[in-house]
Amino acid sequence: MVTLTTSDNETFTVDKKVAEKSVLIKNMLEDVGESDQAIPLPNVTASVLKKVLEWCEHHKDDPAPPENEDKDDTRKRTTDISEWDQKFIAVDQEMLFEIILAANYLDIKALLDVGCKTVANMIKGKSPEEIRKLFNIVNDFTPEEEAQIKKENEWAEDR
Amino acid sequence: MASLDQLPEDVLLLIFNHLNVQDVLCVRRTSKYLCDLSCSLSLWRSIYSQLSRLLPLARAPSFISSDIPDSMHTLRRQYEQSCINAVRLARNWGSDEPVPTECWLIRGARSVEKIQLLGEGRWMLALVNERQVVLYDLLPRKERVGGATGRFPEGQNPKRRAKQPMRVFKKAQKFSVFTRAGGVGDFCTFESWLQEDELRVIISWRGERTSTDFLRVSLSESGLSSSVSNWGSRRDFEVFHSVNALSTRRSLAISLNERMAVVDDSNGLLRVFNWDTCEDRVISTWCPSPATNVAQGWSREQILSLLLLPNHVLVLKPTSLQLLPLPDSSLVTGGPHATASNLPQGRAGNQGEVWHLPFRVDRARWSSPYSSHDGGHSIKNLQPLSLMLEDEEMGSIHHFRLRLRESFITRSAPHAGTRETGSSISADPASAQAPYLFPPVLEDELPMDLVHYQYGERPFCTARSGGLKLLYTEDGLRMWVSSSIASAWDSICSPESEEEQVDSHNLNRSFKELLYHTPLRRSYPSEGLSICEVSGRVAVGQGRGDIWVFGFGFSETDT
Repeated sequence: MVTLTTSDNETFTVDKKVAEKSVLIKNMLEDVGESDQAIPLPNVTASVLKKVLEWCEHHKDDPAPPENEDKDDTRKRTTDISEWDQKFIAVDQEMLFEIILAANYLDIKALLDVGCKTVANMIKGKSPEEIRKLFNIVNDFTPEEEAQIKKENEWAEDR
Repeated sequence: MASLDQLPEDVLLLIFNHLNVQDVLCVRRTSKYLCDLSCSLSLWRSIYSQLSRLLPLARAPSFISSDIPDSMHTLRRQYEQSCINAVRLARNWGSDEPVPTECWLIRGARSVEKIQLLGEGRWMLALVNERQVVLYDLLPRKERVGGATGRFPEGQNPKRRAKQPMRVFKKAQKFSVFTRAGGVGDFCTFESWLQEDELRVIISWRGERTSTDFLRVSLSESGLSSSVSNWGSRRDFEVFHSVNALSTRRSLAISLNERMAVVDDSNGLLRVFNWDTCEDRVISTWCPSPATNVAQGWSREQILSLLLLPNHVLVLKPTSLQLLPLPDSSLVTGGPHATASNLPQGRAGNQGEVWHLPFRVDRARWSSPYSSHDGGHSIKNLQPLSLMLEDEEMGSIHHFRLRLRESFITRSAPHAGTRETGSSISADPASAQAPYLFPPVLEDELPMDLVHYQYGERPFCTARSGGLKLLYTEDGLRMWVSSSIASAWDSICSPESEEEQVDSHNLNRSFKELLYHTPLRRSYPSEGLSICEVSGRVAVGQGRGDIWVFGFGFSETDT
């Protein structure tokens, strides 16, 4: 068993196999060796870690991803998110981003992939204005810049 | 509130990696930060490599020296532009009614004998009025749009879309013109060879006076560079060589490559011309019977078609196919009065290999024996050859394949850029052998008419049979109903399983490329216009002396 401490000082005790879905924790455990000390995760809050560990628990028996995966291959399997993952990731946007950040920090490639694909799917087929609204992006172009960039890329909006 | 641009760069790039070109361009328009990120070289490289599995793309940009400021920016821009052009072209073609983005109309000819597109639609060569060969420069230039006032003639206006402006040019730019001295040749054709920055053309004129002209024109400087300052410059064909013959027989079999040209000189004679040495020789294709030394009947038939190979020529007659070795330099020079009897036959009487056809051929089409290489082609890059033979009486087409000899397959392709002037091809030990294995292998038999197109260096045939159009590529036969190219496309491009997708990937891609460049749905019967050449993103058609050039897709200069 491995004990993890979140930024808001909650501790989670999980199966080593589950915790090692995170490459960060796995490397730490390898470096430190067998130890009862809790591993601090200063970048992750309890609510997010709970969600992340839920994912790790469900995927603990998945085969490890191949080391040097071809970039193209990851692109090819775009949009296909398993049903369980789809349900898992159906959270509010705040949580989605938190999960992505945590997956990035904890180095859980497959979870990061699920998060990125989910965001990508949200972007797909939307106009620039719709994307801004959806993700609270502030339009910081000057009117001239905006007109120019619109002219160059306008065709892409016509679907 | 969570905002997308609060995510770290590497995560955002991972997200962008799952987007298609259009989505990336929409994200680009949302904020400065995301705009900068969407201009990442690695992102566009990745999109390019993904897209290259699906669409025909321009060649990947080559690495630019890091000494040049902005080189990464330029490189990214090139990747991006290739992807965008391909996607826009695909969208146009995939739509129900593909809309040409450019159109040139060339009027004023009494007759149009032959049109050929060269360099993936960069150039167009046309033989008009039975006496003139014109080379047109089809590179669209922004500067010219303003001056263009042309319109589509009555009834010709294809459905326009607000976001796909149609540009109609008043006239295409004539780059070079050659006019036959001494009147028309009422039966004429040409063949051309585009290599790097030089175009070579042989024109065969038959009629009251028979002659063959060997021309060349340099396309460098103003040609291949897109520099606007050279716009309008024009250069004429250089007449390299000219041959007169007395025969008026209407045979037009000619063929050429970077080293030689070969012309049917009637009576079973071939005139072989060496571009480097300007030597002009005549050889016989007749095969004497060993017993009587008289040319055998089948070998006295007229030549239907010729195909020049390195050191060999394929000679097709109605009932035979000969793979004839070309003479080395020790051969006598033949004049116009030379006859078969006083000439050596091929190399030291060697008539090469002969294959007697199982039927009588009326028409034939060769595929290109040369694979294209870095934009040009070279006789060193040989590929297996397809031969389509049409038997009018039986109404059938037979597809034969000529396989490459082992030594020609294993040879690594040298640079297309090296041109060894003067040295004989026979200096190469491998080339003394015939490049292809005889006899040809029958691949398929198709019952229909035959139309032949060439996309780049890759030939394909389309055949008609009732309401069906059949596309015949080297990969095999495909069939589609003329009115639904898109649905045929879908059915071919969505294989059942993932594994299959990987396996059939190459095949699909080549098919798609061909399909792309086949605007068969676009015909203008009211004008008598028929599409006669397709290459790259350009299709040309002709009718009633007019030449129509349709550009599909978007070039760098459009944006």
